[in-house]
Amino acid sequence: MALAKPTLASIAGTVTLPHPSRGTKVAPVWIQAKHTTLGGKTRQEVMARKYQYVLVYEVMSVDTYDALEDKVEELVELTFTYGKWPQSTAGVTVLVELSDRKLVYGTGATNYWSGVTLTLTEVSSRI
Amino acid sequence: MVWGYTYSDGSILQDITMPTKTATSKASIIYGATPSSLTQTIREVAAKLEIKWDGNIWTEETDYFLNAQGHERVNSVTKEFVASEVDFELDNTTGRFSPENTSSPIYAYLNTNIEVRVGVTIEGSYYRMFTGRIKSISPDRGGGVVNINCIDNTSLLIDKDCPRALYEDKRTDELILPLLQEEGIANYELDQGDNVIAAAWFKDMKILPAISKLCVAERGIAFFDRLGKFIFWNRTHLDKQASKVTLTIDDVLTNLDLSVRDSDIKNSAVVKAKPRASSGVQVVWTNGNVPALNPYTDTLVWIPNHDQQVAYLEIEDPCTGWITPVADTDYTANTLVDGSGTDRTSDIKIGFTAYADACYITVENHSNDDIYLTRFQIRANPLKVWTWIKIVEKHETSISLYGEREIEVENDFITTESAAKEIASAIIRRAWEAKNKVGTQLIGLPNLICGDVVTVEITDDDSKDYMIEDINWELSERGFLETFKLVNPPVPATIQTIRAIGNIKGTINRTVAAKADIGRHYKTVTAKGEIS
Repeated sequence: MALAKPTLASIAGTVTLPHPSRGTKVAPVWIQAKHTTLGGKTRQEVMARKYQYVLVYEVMSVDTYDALEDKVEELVELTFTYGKWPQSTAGVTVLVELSDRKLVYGTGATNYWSGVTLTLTEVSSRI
Repeated sequence: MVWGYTYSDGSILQDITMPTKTATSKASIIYGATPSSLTQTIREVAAKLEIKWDGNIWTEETDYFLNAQGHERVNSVTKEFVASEVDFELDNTTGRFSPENTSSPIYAYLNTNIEVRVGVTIEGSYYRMFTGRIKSISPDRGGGVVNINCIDNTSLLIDKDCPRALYEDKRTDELILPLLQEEGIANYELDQGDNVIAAAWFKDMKILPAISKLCVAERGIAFFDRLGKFIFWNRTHLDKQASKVTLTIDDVLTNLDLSVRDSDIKNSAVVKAKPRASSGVQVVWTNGNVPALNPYTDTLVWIPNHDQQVAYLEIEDPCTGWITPVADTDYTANTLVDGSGTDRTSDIKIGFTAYADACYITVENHSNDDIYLTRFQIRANPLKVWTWIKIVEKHETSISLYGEREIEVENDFITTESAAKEIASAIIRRAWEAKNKVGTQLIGLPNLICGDVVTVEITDDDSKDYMIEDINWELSERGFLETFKLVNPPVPATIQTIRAIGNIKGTINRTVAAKADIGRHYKTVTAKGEIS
């Protein structure tokens, strides 16, 4: 069965994105602090553990980019679903950060491709 | 169930069958030893914030929680009642907590006096840190956050008047109870007071200062705990506390401030009291030498026919046992001022309402003659100041080092000179030297509260017991951290009252053994008593 493409969903609708290029990653994020006692022992206070998903697109069409930007500009939390990573297979609520849009090649207003990196940070802690 | 007493030779004094009785008791859960989960190297820490916006249902607002700073304090010297406070910072990017935002789902409820509770979960165990009410909501639009300031249930007692009733031979807890009931506070846990006050009167006092004074006289403390319950600890409770935990340099303490402070020194304590006591039924007011008075201006001297006079009489001392004036005994009426005319006493009707230190009287003249009240008196049992106590306790070594630093305590709930001396001594013991306070910063231990005794590891080879006087706590991305101010713990009085309960039958002398709670240690003592 073919791997499902990544989607970003909100009440307003769902945007389906192409498969990202190579270089994507899932990064563990820890909200934590370390404190050292007078005796020299370092202790760790862990408030949250979650994942950050980084999707790198070396080329993205204008139509896809516009749909993605519209979705980001809804300014609501989105449900990210992507079967590639077990953490996101069932859908996970995320905040979205869109990188600068870099022209890769092409001309005109619609017939070009951009380089974009999408960073998704989970809203809820997994602990 | 058969009960009896068996002598050493095997003979039995008496066998009786006791009926089965149902007993009720109350218990409370007190955090005991520090769970090991609190001191493990890595702790999972989470906040939980709940607000009762509509007054009925707790709404969890943890998703918006950014951080909280709490402060709680018990004044170990003056016993001043100090409220705990918490400041929250919540995410307000959606405008949920903005009072002007009509689209907020809680718009109708954004107000003060809303109930709040916050806790911390550490390694799966939940600890409530605060229960109270919102005092202010301050959105910071620029920062997208809202600051919410809260005060504990002390707010229910602020600026509230004491009842004006009089109380005789009541323990501290029996006097605190009506103050709480006056404001409808039903969630409380009161130790049985060790101090018995012969006559208590809270004239014109507010409830919080009254409780503070009762605590000073008791040498106990009162506070609202983190669950919102009113707590009173008697002096035995304070004195007997064993250390709950050792704050170790290796595992807990991140900083230790043993600096010497000049500001907190007290080396001269003056304790003053004017306790009251019942002095028996007696005349507390009289209309005086009637022939010498002005019948038209003086109180209860002359009343025209078929007329009445009302009087509100304030008495110097508060009274109990007011007696409605009795004809011939307390009042006589005559048509002439010297009593030589016609006796009209039977034509007088009295209306009488008594208060603590005053009474309201209506005197009606039902005769056809103008009458003179040739005698009129009020009888009651005044609670008079029976002694003036003034105790001065000085620490000469401290005075020679720092100069005299005086503290004066005036408290009419202190009933004896020995009690006053104990209070003065306790103040001096705690504050005579500049090294009377220790500051500590530590990985937070939410099972500890103000008033607890802890052992502090000063160095690897030296540790000392202190009482927690002040806690600042922080719950944020830095975890759960605390700062304690510590003072010397209470020193048990040299002589203590012990109580023993025995089931002893017979009328002969017996030697009985009892286990008494003295100071911080249980001692077995023996006492010989005559059982009757």
